[in-house]
Amino acid sequence: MMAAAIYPYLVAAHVTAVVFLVGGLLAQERIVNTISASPLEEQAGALVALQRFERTVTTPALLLTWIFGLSLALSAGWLSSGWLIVKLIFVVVLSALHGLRSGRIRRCLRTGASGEKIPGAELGIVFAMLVIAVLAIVKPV
Amino acid sequence: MNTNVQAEKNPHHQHGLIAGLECKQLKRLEAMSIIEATTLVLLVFIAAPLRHLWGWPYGSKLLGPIHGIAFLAYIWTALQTVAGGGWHQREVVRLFLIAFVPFGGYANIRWLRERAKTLAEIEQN
Repeated sequence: MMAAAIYPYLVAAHVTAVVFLVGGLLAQERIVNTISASPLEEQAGALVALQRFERTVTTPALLLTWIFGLSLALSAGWLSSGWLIVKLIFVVVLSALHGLRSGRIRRCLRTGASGEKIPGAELGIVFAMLVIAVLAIVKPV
Repeated sequence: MNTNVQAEKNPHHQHGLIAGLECKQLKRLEAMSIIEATTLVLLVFIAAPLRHLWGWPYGSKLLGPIHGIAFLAYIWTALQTVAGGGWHQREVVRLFLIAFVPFGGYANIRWLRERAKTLAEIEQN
């Protein structure tokens, strides 16, 4: 009864965190791709802002996505479902991409290097999000 | 001296935020390492024997998911740390494999502190 009552609120919280995470990841990739062509002196401010954005928005969103997502899976008893296992693979890939991006921003700041692109990251994020959305809504297996 | 020259050449160094960025990251990894190692030790040496020898499953039912989350958080923090560069391949492999060994995470503490100390000394010079 209690689990059923909080279920819609957990879904709302999970979806909100996912929106911030995926939106933030896409924005970071787009900004890094755009500034990588500019002179180093002009990149500094943007890279510092990206690092702060990562620390205050995308990392907390990632943490909340995992906490609310696992709470949902546990409360609904989905942990052994095939669709959730496939979905988790894509979620792990997105989380790894976020870790990689934040590490590379830190490296650029530390070494004074230009912003580095991660090949195929933008397309990968969109594709992963599409697969995750379909699996979460359709729950095929 | 050489580091000062590099810092002068680094246009990003005009922002104070950069100083100590790597040391803070190493501190986070050290904290995650301790949490992951502790949950693994509790799971393997307390919860698992309680379940299999005394038939009390609640310890592993509680600690299993907690360790799972701690493990994922450690792996993610380790990936974020090595993506910052400056790590040898052997050190990266060690960082990831150690998460599977009970008490292994504790071996990270001294190693990461020494690394942070070296980095801090380089930044000071």
